[in-house]
Amino acid sequence: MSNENGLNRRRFLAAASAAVGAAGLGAAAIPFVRAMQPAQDIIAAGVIEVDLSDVRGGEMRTFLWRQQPVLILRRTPEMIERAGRIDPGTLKDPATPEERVQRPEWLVCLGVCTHLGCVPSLQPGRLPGFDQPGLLCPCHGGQYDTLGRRVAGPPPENLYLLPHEFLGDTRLRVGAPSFAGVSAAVRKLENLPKP
Amino acid sequence: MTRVPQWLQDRFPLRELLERHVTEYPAPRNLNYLWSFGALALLFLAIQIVTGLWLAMYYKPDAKLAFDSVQHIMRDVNWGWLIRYLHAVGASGLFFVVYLHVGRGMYYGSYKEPRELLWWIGIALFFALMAQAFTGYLLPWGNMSYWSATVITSLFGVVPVVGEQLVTWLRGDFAVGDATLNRFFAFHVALFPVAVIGGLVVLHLTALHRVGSNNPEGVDLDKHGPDVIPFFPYYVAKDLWFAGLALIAYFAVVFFLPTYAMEPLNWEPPDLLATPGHLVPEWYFLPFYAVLRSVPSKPGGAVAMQAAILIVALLPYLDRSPVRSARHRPVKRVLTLLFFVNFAVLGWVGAQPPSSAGVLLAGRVTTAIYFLYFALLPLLPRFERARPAAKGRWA
Repeated sequence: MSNENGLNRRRFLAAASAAVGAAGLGAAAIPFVRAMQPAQDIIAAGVIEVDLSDVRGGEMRTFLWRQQPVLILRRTPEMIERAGRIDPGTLKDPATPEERVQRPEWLVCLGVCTHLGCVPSLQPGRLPGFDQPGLLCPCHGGQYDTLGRRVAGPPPENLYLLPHEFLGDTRLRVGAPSFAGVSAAVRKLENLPKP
Repeated sequence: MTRVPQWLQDRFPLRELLERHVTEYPAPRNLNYLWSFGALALLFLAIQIVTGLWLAMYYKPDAKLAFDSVQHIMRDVNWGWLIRYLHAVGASGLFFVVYLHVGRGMYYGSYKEPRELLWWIGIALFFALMAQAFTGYLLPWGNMSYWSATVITSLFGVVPVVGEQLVTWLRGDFAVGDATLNRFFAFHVALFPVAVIGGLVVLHLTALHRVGSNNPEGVDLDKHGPDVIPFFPYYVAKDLWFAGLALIAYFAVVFFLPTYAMEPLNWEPPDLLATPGHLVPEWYFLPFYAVLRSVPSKPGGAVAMQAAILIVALLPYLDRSPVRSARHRPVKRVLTLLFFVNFAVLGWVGAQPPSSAGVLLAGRVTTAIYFLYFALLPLLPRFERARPAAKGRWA
């Protein structure tokens, strides 16, 4: 083998070995990268069931799901009718009632104000400057109707939704294995993953 | 390899470092594969550090939580079982490689002048490695973890006058407990890795590069002569190839036999009221454990166990022959190979329950043979006819 051939062969072998080595290192890195993802128990804790039987009309419950506050509001017929009268086109973040709730009687959403993250509270009477009940955020005065849609104040978006499924009339399954919650920022039911 | 941007070169001697220590570093051309074990040890150390770091992301060093956190890693953490087995098998792999590395040194006389300091730094590294393994073994908080920590920490009680207080101080409690676990975690994750890597490995390699590698013939080589070749690419390529083989063996164990060297009792939490019937350390401690048990007194056993390791440090002075390599010393060659076999038998003895008289006798005989080797070495030059090294011929 001439010198020229030998040099080319050596270069080829070195390059080929380096390429295979790099591929090997890349493959070896995969388990370590994946190991830093949320562990299976965290994923499994992403789906919980709650009992609805003690929530009366007009009442709101808050509970923690994945360290995030979730609101369940049992809407009265008056609440349903009044929120239905709002024209979605006038909203900052337009959404129709069908895009927000599976059953009109139950609002299920994340209780995290889309402005800066405080937990809004229920105003069963009237919101200030508004002729309907709704949710009021104490921090900067953001206001949401009983469908969690932003109607006044600094919040840019409606309250975020999370996957939920009604089990009969008394139980609710909330969350999905890999659903992140607030950071997913889902505002319409059709964009939610299955529980 | 030496094309370094000038901007960097003006501020950092990268090119010089690479040339002096890698691309133009002179290495003997006749090194065999036994010389690859040092680099392999560095590879396994890197594996232990990376896998250990990942384990530390999930491990909880609290006596109430530790055992369960390990199970969490095994079951819930994505690929956690793999990272755990890589670390556990890697510890055995590291010791296996280090024993072969030391054995190479003993056989070829790599401890002789001018490499005495290199040898002693290596022994310090071995002590640090044993401490690292010992502290690491407590962390899973299994039954064997707890009891072996109890036995070994109580050994410090043989120190005169302050022995018992020393044991309590070491444990942080009057028995091995949460205080011990937490500090062993600190030692295992912060103290010994820094001391081992930051300190001793750097010192070890620095000392090595000052004197250059020994070689199987044991002869001094002219560093600018025809018998040296540059470390890169030749020994980089050779070590990479051998590392590939070693990794095949390593992964074969990790994927098919991960629990082969793992004590079954450690899959249970500690039972503080009942010592297991058969206390056994990990395999790499077995020879020294056998020495410990062969001496009937507690202080005697502890001293003998320490002496068994420390006596290796005396090799540069015990071995008085002017010839380095056992290749050219027929008597030392046989004695050293017998020493290695005896070491393995000592290991077997360490694994046996101490009850039978036969095992006790075997332990004492093998311990005696172990120390006899070091006693005989100084006498060898009197009657050994060492064959002179053949000049210019590499086997």
